Amino acid sequence: MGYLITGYGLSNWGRDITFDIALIFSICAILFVMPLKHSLNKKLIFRSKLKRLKG
Amino acid sequence: MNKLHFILLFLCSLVIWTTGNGLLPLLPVYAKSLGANDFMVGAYLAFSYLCLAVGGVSSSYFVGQQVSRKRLIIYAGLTCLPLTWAVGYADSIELLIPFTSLLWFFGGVAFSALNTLASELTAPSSRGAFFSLFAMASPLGAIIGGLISGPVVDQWGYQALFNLMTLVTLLWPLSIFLLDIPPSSILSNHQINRHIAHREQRLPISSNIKWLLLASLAAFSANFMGTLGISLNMDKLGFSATDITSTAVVGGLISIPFIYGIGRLSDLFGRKTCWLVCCVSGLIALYLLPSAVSLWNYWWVALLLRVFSTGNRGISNAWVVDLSNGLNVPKLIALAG
Repeated sequence: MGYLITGYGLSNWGRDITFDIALIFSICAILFVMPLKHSLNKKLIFRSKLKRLKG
Repeated sequence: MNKLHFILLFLCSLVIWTTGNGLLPLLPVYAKSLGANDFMVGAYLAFSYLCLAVGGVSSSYFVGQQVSRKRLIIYAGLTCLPLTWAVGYADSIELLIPFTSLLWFFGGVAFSALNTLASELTAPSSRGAFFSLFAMASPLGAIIGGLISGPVVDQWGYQALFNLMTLVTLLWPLSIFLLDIPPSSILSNHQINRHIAHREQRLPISSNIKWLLLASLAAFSANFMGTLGISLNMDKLGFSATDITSTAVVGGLISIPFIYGIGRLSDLFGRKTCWLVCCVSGLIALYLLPSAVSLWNYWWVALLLRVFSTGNRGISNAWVVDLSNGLNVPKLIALAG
């Protein structure tokens, strides 16, 4: 998808707009992980520590 | 796994990465020299990557058809020899597309089979250490490929590069041919079929995993846009092939410590924090890219993009495992990566 958009964008929209779209993609990569809770990983770490302590 | 097994498997992986990483920065420039416009270059690379993905998926189909992984890697390597040579002699984009697509397809077949064979030969207790060392083939391949391919093209042209890459590719089937696999360490056909049937179970995709996969798709799209943008921009500005491939070398150099560090950092500071840091690195790179004019500018962009891609790949693999509750882990890792 990235290659297709770059190729099409550079041919039709120009350099600035094409790389603005790339910037939007990386902003989306940030926004999409926002609903994921930080605590998920911490919970796992806590559980594995607890297991180790029990073991 | 003994040392000889590791050396031979690593050599095979290194050859694949050296060829791939050595050629990738120059393929857009080569396609343009054959008369392709920017859109055709993008479509050409997108189709090649599609073939790479199809090749990876097909690998398990071939193994299901009673072909051992060792033979599969050797056959794929032998098929890639004339294909690599033929890419150098393509005189139009219409010939370049099928040759490269087939090359990428068999590369995908072999790479997937190689990783599975390596995991079968490694004891479960040492798999983590093995794969972290095995992953070094990617940045090392980028450094070697980047250092070789640019100067060769500048001195002797593209045909010489593909002739040289054909000779390098010869090491791929040869290294696996020399690999002496003890029968006890290989899964039987029954086990393989059971394994495939297990993998074909429906994926339990929770909303968390869906968000992560979407984020991963957006991150990789942005990264590939940046990577292609570097090659095309540098070509337009008149940089030599050596300069263009030097960006791959810089990227490879930063990857070596980063591959090790990012997993550990995400364990310490949380996956989300590290993911955000990597994305900010990508944002800076993509912001700088349109205004980059000197080689130094492009090195910085390549470095930041490599942090973005290596970090996101490492973190998304670990994160998806965290979220999967241990179900269908290989399939989810393949989707996230």
